[in-house]
Amino acid sequence: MTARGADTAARRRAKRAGPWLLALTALLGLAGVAVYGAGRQSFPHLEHAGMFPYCTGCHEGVPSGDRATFYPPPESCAGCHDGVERERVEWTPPGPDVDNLAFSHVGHAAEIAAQTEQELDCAVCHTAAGAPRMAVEPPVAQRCLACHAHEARDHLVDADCSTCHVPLAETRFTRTSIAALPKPETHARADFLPEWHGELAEAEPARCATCHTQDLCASCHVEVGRYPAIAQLPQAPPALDLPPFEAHYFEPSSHREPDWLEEHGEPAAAAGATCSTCHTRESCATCHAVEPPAVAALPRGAGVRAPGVSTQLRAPASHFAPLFEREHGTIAAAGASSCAGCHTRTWCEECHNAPASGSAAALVSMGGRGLTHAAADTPRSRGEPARARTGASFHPPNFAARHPAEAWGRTLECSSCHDTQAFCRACHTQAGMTSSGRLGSGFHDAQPLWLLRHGQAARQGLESCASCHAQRDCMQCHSQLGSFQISPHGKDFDPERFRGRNQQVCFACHISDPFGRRNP
Amino acid sequence: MRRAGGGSGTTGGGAAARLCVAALVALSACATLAHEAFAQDVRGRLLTSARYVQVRPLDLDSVPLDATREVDGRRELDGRPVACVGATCTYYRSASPEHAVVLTQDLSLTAWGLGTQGLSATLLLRGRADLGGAFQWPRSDDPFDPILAYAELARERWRVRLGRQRTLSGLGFSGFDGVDARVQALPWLRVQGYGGRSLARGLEEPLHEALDALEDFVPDQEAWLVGAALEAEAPAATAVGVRYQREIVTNRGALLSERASVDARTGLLRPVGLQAALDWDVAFARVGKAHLTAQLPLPDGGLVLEATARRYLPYFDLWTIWGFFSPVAYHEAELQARWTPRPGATVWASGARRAYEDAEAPIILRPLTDEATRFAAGARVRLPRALVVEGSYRLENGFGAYLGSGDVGVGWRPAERLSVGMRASAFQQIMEFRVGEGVVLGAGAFADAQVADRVRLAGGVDVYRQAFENRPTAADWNQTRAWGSIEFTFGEDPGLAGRSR
Repeated sequence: MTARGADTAARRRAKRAGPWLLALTALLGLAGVAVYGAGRQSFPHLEHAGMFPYCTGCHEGVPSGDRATFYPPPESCAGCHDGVERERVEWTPPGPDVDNLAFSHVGHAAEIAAQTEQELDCAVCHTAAGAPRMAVEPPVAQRCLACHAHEARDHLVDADCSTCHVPLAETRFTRTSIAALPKPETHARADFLPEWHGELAEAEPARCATCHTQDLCASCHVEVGRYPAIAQLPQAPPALDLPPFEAHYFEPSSHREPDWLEEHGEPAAAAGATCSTCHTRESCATCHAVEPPAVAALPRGAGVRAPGVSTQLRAPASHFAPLFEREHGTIAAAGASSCAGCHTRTWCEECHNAPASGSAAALVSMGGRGLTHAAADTPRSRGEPARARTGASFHPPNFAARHPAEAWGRTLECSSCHDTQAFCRACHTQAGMTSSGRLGSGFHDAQPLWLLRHGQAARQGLESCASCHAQRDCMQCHSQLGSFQISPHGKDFDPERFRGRNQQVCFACHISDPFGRRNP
Repeated sequence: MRRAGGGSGTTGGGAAARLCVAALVALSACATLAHEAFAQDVRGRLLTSARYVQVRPLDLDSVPLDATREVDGRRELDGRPVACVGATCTYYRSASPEHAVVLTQDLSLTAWGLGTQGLSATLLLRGRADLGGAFQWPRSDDPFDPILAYAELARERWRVRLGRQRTLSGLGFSGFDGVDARVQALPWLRVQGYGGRSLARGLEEPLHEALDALEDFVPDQEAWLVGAALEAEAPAATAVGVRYQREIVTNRGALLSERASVDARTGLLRPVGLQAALDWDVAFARVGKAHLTAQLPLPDGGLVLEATARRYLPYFDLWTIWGFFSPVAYHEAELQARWTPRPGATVWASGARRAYEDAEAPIILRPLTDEATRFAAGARVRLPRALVVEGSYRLENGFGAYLGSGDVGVGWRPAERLSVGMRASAFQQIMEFRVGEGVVLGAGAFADAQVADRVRLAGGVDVYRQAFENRPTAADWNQTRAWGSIEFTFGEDPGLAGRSR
């Protein structure tokens, strides 16, 4: 074959291969588009293996830290991809990464050089171990730990975050990227928030700052200033769009003690009390009508970000005891200041000085017996409407008609609320029941010879007697100038004792005339 | 016998009463309107209530001895005992029914934020007016009472009150116009001292003004009250209150009362809760009232048992002769049980038995009983559809009187702000050594409506049928009682920053 024949054969072969090459090129181009997409077109380092002996051939600015030359200009690709030798490519360098890395190639390289007297090879961080140099990958944290293993075993567990990361407050992260930040395993524990996180935060607040700002803490903690660990966290700049965080509150075990309601005052008032971690002043105002000093020290809800614990008005367990409305006196007398924590002074008067039976001041219970507040009812000291009422008050309905027996069998002192003369006797007088003289009108008609037999009854129920009988009635027989001069004193009566205390009352019987003829 | 007109006798006059009530209403209206200016620092209540009560007094009548006959050693008229002296026998018979209508106006007010931290003012004023009826309800002729009117300055460790106030303690209620100071001396100890012009017990006026027209031997000088108290707290819900109180007249020539009390509660023996109280009459050198209560909730939480040992000896001021008549105490043992089988349902019962000390009084014919028993039981059930049903039975079998009573009530809440209900009662009693009185049956209805956030209306009516037994001279009759009230609340709770409750 002649040269001229060989050349013709070559042209003939090229003609036959041309369409296939064209098709292959098109396929490769399409594949390239498919692989690299219409957006950012990452550089396929491995495909360019052997073409770039040095990383700095393209990444000229990395050693010097010149970000403008971190990446080669797009037109440098055209040196090969001119559309003749190679297909044209559209590549633009990536924009600056939005990350939270505290990393500088220059500084890092200098540190390595100072420590090892060797120049740091890019492949150490940017290529997996054992892979070709041009099998470039973004560095991952575990690769950092390959050198920094002496300081940490696990990226998210015990690595010093500030070695590689800046605080979240210094980043330009979006809400989505913040929400996507990886969480250490500790955060997934059920007891992390209620038990752990405070301790960890106090130990290493800088670690928290990597992913959190002070605003996160303020989402739960009412008084952030009392915790140095929180104060050390930077606040988020206005431009940082933080994802919302719902406040979580966990009831300490102490709060679940049966007598916590009665006992919490002392720990709340103690120095170093931690109530303001979860409670705003409004929490306490739910129960405390009058602010104790410990409550006044809490921040108001309007001035803090955290919502604070929502509390419900609840009476102590003692309030649901049988006959509490009749037996709370001892509890109140033993610790009146405790009552004042929830009840205003006028609250007591609503019952103890009520204007009328069956009025709006009525309690829930029927007949003043049994229950005063069923478990689901709340005290009315705070104006809470009671549940469905059965219309009774401290005294049962129609107590005016049925109080005689209760007066005789009293367990409470009626005269604490009702003056014997101005109330009891005033009504009895109008009702025609008061005494009309010493000889007896026959009111106590169930017992014969009552005038002679009433002594035992009088000593056993003298309060009831005094509700109808005036003193002068009894003095008609039981005084020195009375008809029968019957001494009313018991055998243990000590006259000298009272002469020094109130001699005037002695005169009442021993000098004054019960029939009105002469009085001292 | 003519029925004496009663009354509390301080200041009377229907016109004056109405004027005072009107003034109180006007003041209340101003307070309600002014609350906007102090919306977060004032809290109060305006309560207007009215009652209609029918009563049937007794009239003392007489008949000649010849009209009576002797039965088993005593005289009787138509089967009813009469008391005869000479040729005349007397007895009580029912008079014509009468009624009383009473209007009460209460204003209670507590104000904070008066420019100084910890400064507050508390006011409880009451006006009364008798709106008619032949029967004058007790105290209805007393047109105006400042029950509470004091200013309080509170700091972290101390509190001072100045003005009209009342102490509530193991000695009962003691009103005075004066000063009350309390200091947190130690974290576990509070010390209180108080004193001032004494007010009569159960009244809001000085003794010599309130009772001078009603009773003999009332001191003619001002009375002065002084007292001191200690409150100590300890762990395990333990608290002890000790109080001493003394009341004298101005010239210090007479002691009106001298008493001390101890009140304590503790959870040291948890789950048993203990309460104890005792008052000591220093003047008479004797224990007045005392009790020891132990409460035991059983492990399942549904049953609570309570036992009480109680002593009761009445207290009388030294200006009266009653204390010198050597009253005797009773001692009582009481057991209570409450069972909550499920939320919203409770059953309870209590029983007590008491014995009186030896009265050391002459015994004629035979001694009176010196024992008494009490029994009570009840239940309360919360049903679906906002229904509450409650019932109770009570038995008082005392040495001088007897009462057996049963009450049933049904409450229904058809809407969040409306409660209605009905109740019925039946009781039989024997009064103060009298022949049995018969049976009273009653029924009533009531309603309670929160018509606005700050306005509540309530009212009810009851009708009772009293049927007498063993009393031919007593007429059976129907008795009506009614009541109504309107309540305004104003202001806010402190610390809730604009939220009302």
